[in-house]
Amino acid sequence: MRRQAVVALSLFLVLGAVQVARAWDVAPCSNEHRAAWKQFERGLRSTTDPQAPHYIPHPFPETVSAAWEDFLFYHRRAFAGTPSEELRPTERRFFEVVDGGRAKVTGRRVVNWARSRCGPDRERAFYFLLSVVDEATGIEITRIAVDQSGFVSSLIHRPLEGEWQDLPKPVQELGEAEQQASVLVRSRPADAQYVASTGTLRCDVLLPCVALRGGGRTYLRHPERGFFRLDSERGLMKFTGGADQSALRDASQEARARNEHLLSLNAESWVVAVPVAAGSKPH
Amino acid sequence: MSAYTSSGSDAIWDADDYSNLDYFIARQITSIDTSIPVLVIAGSFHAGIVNGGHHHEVPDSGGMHEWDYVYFHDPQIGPDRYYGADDWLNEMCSYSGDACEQIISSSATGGWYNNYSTYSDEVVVGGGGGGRPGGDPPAV
Repeated sequence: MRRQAVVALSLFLVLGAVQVARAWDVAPCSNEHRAAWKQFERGLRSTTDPQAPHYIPHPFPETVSAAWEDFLFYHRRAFAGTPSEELRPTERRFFEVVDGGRAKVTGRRVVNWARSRCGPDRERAFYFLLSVVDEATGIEITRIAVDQSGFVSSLIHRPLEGEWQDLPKPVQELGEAEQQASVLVRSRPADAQYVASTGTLRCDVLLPCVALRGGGRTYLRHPERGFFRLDSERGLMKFTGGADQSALRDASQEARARNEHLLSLNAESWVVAVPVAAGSKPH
Repeated sequence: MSAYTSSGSDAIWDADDYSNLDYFIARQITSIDTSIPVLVIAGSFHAGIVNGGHHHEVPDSGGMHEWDYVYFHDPQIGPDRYYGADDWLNEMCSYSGDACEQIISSSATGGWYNNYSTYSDEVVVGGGGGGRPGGDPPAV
């Protein structure tokens, strides 16, 4: 209890960084599984016993601070029985920074276009991407993805030593991506939002892309591979069920042969992503 | 993989579909339990190495264990990436049509069905569990 009180008093939490603009989708979910999503949400909200395996303090959090508290609850519970000396060094450092009041936490809201979106169990429409910086050093020590429901999706701690010294690249600022896009495609893309996706072009949940709209088109800024135009004019592709697996692979190989990519938009919808060369016209 | 297998040649391509997800996971956990890592093809387009995970005993549950994390060495993101258990299932075996695929040591997975039969009823999937096989979703 004392440990929690120390954390509550000393944690420096930045609340203002979450994006509040309306999220948009290229391929919205159908209504097929909405009843199951509601059932899951009701079940989570009605789980009030902190000892229950699926309890989290803030089901379906709406703020960065609530998502962070959900994560910390899950993470502390996972390692509660592990003596400090048996924790991995990166894990030990994480708890030292948090319990020592040196954690500065910021968060972003990321729209989920990965294949986990629109599934039969949960909608997974978005998630919170949290960044934990050790204020003593100014270095990001941990990056965390907390699902829309409040459960942890994925995380990585910055290694202490060795070949991998850094976390993935810093997440690009939305305004910066808009600026770059306006130069590149000679239009004024707007409505920038972070997105996670998969396919032959991967926008990882811990290193998301930026999606933008402009001139009737949708663009994607990949953190390492530059800009792409989502060619929805060619039509969205749907691959559902095991029988479609070979068709999905054929489509991805065909895209690669044209120097294009296949990008997921949800559990079953895919689109071709075409590289954008500098100076491209919007139409 | 050959460095970790007894004969250097017993690594196999293990593919199953979503309906057998719990069997597939039992083989993966059995291999990791014997300290033999597994090469996982996550959702057809991404691959990396799984070599561990974390679970804890749920208090006052009579021995129920919650499976918290999987440790995934991700060539794009970095080493020792954690996945919440439920999201790991999602990442690896999308319910939208992929086969679940892994390169795994056949000798290291010899006891998988025994492990599954013995322990599967004592494991709850952390991270929500959301209606998956063995996921034990929250009561409504």
